Amino acid sequence: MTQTLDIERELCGHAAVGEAAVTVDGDRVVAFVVPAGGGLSLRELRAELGTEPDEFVVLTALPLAEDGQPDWAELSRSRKDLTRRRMPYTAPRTDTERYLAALWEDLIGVEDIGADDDFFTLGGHSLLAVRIRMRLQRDHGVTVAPEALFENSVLSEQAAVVDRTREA
Amino acid sequence: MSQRTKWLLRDPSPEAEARLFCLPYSGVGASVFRRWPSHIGPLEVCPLQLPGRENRIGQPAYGDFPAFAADAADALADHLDRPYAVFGHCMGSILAHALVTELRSRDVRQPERLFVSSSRVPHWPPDRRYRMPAPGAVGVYHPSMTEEQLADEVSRVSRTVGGTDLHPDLLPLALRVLRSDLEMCFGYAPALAPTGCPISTIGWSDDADVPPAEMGVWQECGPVTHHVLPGDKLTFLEAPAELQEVVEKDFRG
Repeated sequence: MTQTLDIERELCGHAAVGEAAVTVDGDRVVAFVVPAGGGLSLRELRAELGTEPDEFVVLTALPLAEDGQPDWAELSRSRKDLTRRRMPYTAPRTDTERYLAALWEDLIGVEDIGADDDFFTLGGHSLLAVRIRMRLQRDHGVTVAPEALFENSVLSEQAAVVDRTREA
Repeated sequence: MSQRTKWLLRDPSPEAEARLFCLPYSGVGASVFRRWPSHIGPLEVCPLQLPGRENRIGQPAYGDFPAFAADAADALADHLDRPYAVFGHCMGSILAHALVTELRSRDVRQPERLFVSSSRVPHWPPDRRYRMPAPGAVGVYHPSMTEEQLADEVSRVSRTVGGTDLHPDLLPLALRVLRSDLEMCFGYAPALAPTGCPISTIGWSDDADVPPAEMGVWQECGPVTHHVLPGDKLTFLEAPAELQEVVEKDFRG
């Protein structure tokens, strides 16, 4: 319990975090966080925390119960919803898949993105897809048509498009 | 794992008590509902993805409502196994109505309710249903607008909603599907079709496009509960608490 409070206190004090609520579910410490406004890189956040939760769930707002405390039932539902949006986990296998997984993670605030996950299903949208395109240009010198990124919204397919474009 | 239907952004939960199938306005995809919660009361929020946008961008967009309704009804068949309602905003209301009337002609579980937001009735002739945007209106499109006017308006919506200009890479894609949607809307002149289920109309107090009072006409399609909520044409994107209350309360009846 003190552990969750410590993590919560540290998260709430972090400049990139607007609100946070931390709980234990089974043997997992789960942190629900609302970004302060700008982007929130969970990877960078983890690197700066003294004690890390097992799992992050990024939300646009923290649901509150009538007593003003976090609505844990609603939070648990949000976590379940996120789990349901994921495909059974297949670790990214190639450099391109790993690069894209890390990029998606920063853009949509979901950790452990697998090769079979879908960008739009996990909460991505067109403007974020354009950022994928710009980062690919910057980091890899590869220019992928926006349509190709949209349509190939599963990580492994998107990586294949990037690799094919690079070779072409 | 079975092949996911691309009609739904995510697989509906087998545990959901009820489902709310949500239809977006013209020119955009299912991700416009990304700020909505995963549930509203007993209803699991299930945004529909139409062809021609986002992860279905490679598929041609529909040119007419009946074709949309028939295919959407097929795609949803497996998910109509529990109580459900259909929500649409603007063009999404017309899509939602077309879907509901298609479902009515089929031997499937019928919707509990149709929610329509910021839309005139489908059976008004198109030139009465759609008006040129009033000065100051954001997010209102009309087929008579030039590409430049549409581009300006799409960018304005993008600034309003996302805080930034639409990226130049996206503009041609956005305009392509928007133009197609506008033509589809303007070519649609159906006869009055009752929904067979109650309707909740949601007007927005500062909607410069559809005055809330004009939504009263939906009562010609079925029994209506009328609501006027504070906000403008795009307020629904944030799923404000008032909207969620209306949806939950009216669904529970």
